[in-house]
Amino acid sequence: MVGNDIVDLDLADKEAYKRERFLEKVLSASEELYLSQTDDPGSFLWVLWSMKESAYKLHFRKYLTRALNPIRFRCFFDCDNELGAQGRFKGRVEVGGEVYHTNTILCKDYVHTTAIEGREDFRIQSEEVSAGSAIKIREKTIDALVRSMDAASVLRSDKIEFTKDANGLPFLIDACKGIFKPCSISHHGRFGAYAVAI
Amino acid sequence: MQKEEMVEKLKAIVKPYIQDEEAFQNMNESTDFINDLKINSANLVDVVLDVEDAFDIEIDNESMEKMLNVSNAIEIIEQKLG
Repeated sequence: MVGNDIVDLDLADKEAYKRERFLEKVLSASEELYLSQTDDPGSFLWVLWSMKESAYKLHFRKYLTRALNPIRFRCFFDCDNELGAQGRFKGRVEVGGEVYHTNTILCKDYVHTTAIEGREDFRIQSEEVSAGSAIKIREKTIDALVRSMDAASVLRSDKIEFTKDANGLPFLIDACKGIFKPCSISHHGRFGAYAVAI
Repeated sequence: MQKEEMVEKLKAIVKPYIQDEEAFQNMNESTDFINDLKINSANLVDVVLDVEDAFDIEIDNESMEKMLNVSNAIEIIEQKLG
């Protein structure tokens, strides 16, 4: 299973890290410590947020329980002393006895995290897409997701459809072959991204 | 406070964060903040903070977990106002 989350850094509040009450509601003490140690707390808060949000999506897929509980999703990093080298963060998010592994990319314009369950050896296909405006971005993200199946020779893009089930969970379906493939999409502002196991 | 009055007050609070104008116009007790109004989850934390300020209450983490729709929000606010 997979979850992903993208944050457009132009749209996100880069001053949010200064807002004590906001931090109290979303971060643990150890996450606040990570925040205080980085050179760019304005963006790093959104690294933590996208880790939590991508793990939440995965956790929801598994348990179907909805809640606004970012503080329960605890972020950890694999190598503290190499935190964010080249804008890449490998880490994990722990919640209620579950451990989800995360990969985050931080660049000038956005933060994107994919979360997977365990250390599965299947490959995660993930890609960021951009559009000039927020209007077309959802469509463009879904299109890139569908086309990625051709590239991976998994499913044929002309045979599959993107759909959501009654719980709002996204799937790629090939009705003829009876294939339901779980996937994750995210969009915010000018950017979108998908993640899917191939 | 009457329920309608409460919905109106909440409507003013969520206005800056909504992304579905039609659902916002029709906002009522059964409206979901995320699924209907398309408020993103980071902004939903802002909604919680703004509710705290507007009603002069404190919403603990346990209550915040349920702040997903208008009816839960009203229930939590009423409970905190005592």
